[in-house]
Order: sequence, then structure tokens, then C-alpha cells
Amino acid sequence: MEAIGKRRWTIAGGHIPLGSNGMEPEFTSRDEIAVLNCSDSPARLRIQIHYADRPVVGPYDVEIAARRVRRIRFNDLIFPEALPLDVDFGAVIEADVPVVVQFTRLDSGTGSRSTIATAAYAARNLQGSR
Amino acid sequence: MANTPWSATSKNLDQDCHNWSGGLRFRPARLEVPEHEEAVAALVRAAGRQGRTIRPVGSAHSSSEIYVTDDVLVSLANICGLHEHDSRCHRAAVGAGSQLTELSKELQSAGMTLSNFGDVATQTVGGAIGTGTHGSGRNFPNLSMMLVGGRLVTARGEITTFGVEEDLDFVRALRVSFGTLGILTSATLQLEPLHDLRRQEWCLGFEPCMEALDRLSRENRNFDFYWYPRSDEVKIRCLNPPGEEKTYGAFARLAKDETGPPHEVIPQHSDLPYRFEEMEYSMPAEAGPDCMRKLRTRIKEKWRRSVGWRVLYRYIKRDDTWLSEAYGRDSVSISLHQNATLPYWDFFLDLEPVMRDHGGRPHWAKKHSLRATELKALYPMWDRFLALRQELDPEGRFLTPYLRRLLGC
Repeated sequence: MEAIGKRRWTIAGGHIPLGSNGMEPEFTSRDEIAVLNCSDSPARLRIQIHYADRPVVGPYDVEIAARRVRRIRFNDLIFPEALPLDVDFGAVIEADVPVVVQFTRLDSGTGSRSTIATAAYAARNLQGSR
Repeated sequence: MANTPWSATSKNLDQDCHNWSGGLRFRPARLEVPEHEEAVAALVRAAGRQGRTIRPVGSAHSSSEIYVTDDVLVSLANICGLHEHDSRCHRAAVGAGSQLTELSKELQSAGMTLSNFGDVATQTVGGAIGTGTHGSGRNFPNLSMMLVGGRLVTARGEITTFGVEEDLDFVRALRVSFGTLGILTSATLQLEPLHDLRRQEWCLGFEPCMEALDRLSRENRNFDFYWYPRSDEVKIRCLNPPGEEKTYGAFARLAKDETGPPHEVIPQHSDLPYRFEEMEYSMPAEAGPDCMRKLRTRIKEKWRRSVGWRVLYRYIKRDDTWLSEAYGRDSVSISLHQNATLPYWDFFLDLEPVMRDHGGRPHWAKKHSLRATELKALYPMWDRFLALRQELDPEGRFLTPYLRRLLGC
């Protein structure tokens, strides 16, 4: 199947909420990306995490099988380094095949649980949209 | 070139040595990599003449300071390999510098295998035995119990042989002695006929795991679990002879299923590209669940912000090795981890009292804060060990300032 999406995506407003309420892992507060790989090849992602006050950390290597979707919680990434909770971060996601990235935050620590979901920002690749 | 822990193999180092995690950095006066046992003995005799101390080192995977020295450091990397074996008794004499991964391939060719492994197999035979390295399983003691005989270079630079048949008490003292009674050069190991194991990993919630814990630990040959503090999930790891595996599909999701010889399916993290620091305590098996619950509560309350690494829960069969974590009691070990690039001491020190309150004994090769006064109270054979050490090495040839503080000598 023809690949859909872009090879480079960014998230500027990362911030994993510290508190959680309810059953886990279903209601664990989290920042998460869903990655859709429509292509016939595995998608290898390299994620770099940017902070406000210290150098970039990464890459975090993640693979999404061909013609699959995968959800990745930033909370769970520990190689090379666990992301701190309750700290602003940005993520630059580079894939070796075009993918679609959607960002979701669940904050179950507040009185009324809140969820936001948005498409990550897709950088227009040099040499066109692929 | 020998498979030394460091790129520097010259006798006069121009760079620091470091351990696997990078957390320990030191500069010995000399790093020696002898080619054979007699050369080890000569080094010890020379150290004696010169009034120097000498420390053996394995693969430098340990994150405690047991091999840190500013004097002579000796790597046995060249004294390795399968020397001879007896297929009927499943015993083999091997070089103490043999890395477990490489040795296992040789043993496989001879139709034998170690009974158990830790999560990694990068340690050397001497290092794994000397520090009480262990895997998991109610019927499996730590790896030092494989040692049934061998050859040792004494503090006077003499080569001696030993065996459980001739002097059982000496072997009980020697097994976990981190090179303070002599330098082990050859180890005769009690092994098993080569066989396959089926490894299955299942993911489930923490409470269902704890409710089934006793059964899980008894009905699997090898059983342990990871608890993930950022999701409160658990991954149980079960290994059994093919055909004897269990199924937990009613309350868990199968995440991995593979079959192979023990050295391929038990240690799964030998090639981790990223480093971590670790603190581990072993406690009586019956105290394990309560300790685990208290650690989980504390981590969720205070440390979730900065700690994403899993907590590892394992079983160790009791033994009679004098300084073994599992001396005289079936044990559970609980390991805390943190990325080596992140602060870890405050985390470890905050949780160490919880493990001590449950009768915990620290792993000799991992982070802990205990010294002789506290350790003496944990080991019934402490005084006998120290007396033997004093008898065998009265001048402290194998001691360092850290070991003197640790042992109180």
C-alpha cells in the first residue's frame, strides 16, 4: 500500500501530567503519540526530546510494523533516559518512511478528567511532501 | 587481544578505567592481563615484595567499588575457556576469566549448560561466583553454588587446589568472597545436561500478579517479574522445559514466546545499549510481597516524577555460602534501577531503609550504603569469614580502602 504522511513530525507542547486517578494503566495520565504506518515497510522512528533548560536527549528508537498503528506513551520511554513528568518538552520525530502522527494527552489527575488530541506538526520535507 | 574491560591494556595506564555503567571511574597504577595462572602467582609474589595490593577484576559489570583500586588491577581475561569436562558428572573445569556468554557456547558444544543465569551473561565466571550473581527460581541458588572445586592463587603467590569433597567449609567461604581470599584462576563447575527452555512473558496488572504470586513462583522453573512504575503494570517471565509450560491467558496477555538453550533464553539484556545504575537487596522470601508493596507505594508517591525504570522481583534458593545474600534462607531479591545519566542516589537511599526493614541484605556488586557494622549483623558467619580472611591474607594483599571499610578490617 502507498505510504501516507510525512517523515518528520514535531510536538511543541509536551508535558506529562504528574498526578493520576483511576485504574492504571488505562487512566494513567500521559502524553502519547499514535503512529500510523500505511506503507509496506516497517517504519523506524527516532525521537529527540527537547527541554527548556538542558540539552536534547535521544534518540529514542521505536519501530512500527508495516501496515500497523502503534501507540507510544512518552511516560514509558526509558532508553536512553526516562522523561521527567510535569516538565515541558518538545519532540522531533523522524521516520524512515512516511507516517501519520497524532498526539494525545490524558490528564486524569484533575477533578474532571481531560483529554486533548491533535495531529502533530508535520514538517514539509525537502524534495517535496514525501 | 584479550577481551579486557577496557581498551587500555598497557601496564601503565594513561586513561581511567570505568565500570559498565560508567558510574565508577578510577586509575589503577597498573593493569595486568596475565596469560596464564603462573603469571598471576608471579604478580601476587611481586606485589608482596613491593608492598602493593592487587585486585582481580572480571568484566567490570559491578557498580560497587569492590575492584576499584589505585594499585595493581589484574584482569583474568586471558585465562578463559573450557579446560576439561566430565560429561557423565556434568562437571567442567573452566578459566575463571571466561565470560559466561562465550563459555556457554563452548559448554553447548560439550552438551552441557549452566543451570541458571542472571538477566545478563556478560560477567566472567570468577566475577559472577565471587559476587553472588544470581538468576531467579525457587529451586535455584545463586551462581556461586556451581563452584565445586578449582585452583586459587593465595596471598603468598602460591597456587592451591580446593574442592568440596576435601574442604567444604573453605568452599563455603570462598564462593562469595569477591577476591579477598585469593584469586580464582580455574573453577570446576557443577552443570546440567544441555536442554531447551521455553520462555514466555506475560503482561498483567500488579494486583492480579500479587494475588497469584505464590502459585506463579512455584509452578514455573524460573519465574520473576518486572513492575513498571509509570504504568503500574507487571511483566512476568516464566521459563519451563518445553511441554511443561503454563498458560495464563485468563488474566494476562502473552508478550513473548521463544524456546532455546538456557544461555540464549534466560539472559536477555546482555546487549543493552544504554546504561543504568542498580540497587538490590535480598530478603526472606516470605517478606518479599510486603516489601514490594511498600516500595511500590513509595515510588508512586514520591519518585514517579523522575524514575521510569522498572523494579525487578526475583527468587533465590537458600544456600550455605557464608557471605551469600541467601545464606540460610529462601530469598526474594528486589532491584531498583535508574538511568546512569540521571541522579540515582537520593532515589536509592530513600528506598534502602524499606528493604532493610524487611531483613534485606545488599548485593555485593550493586549500590548500597552499608558498612561492616551493619553487615556483620546480617551474616551469621561474618566473624568466621573475617577470621579466615585474616589467616589467609594477614597483610591485606587483596584489600583496598573500600574493602577495609566494607569488611571492617
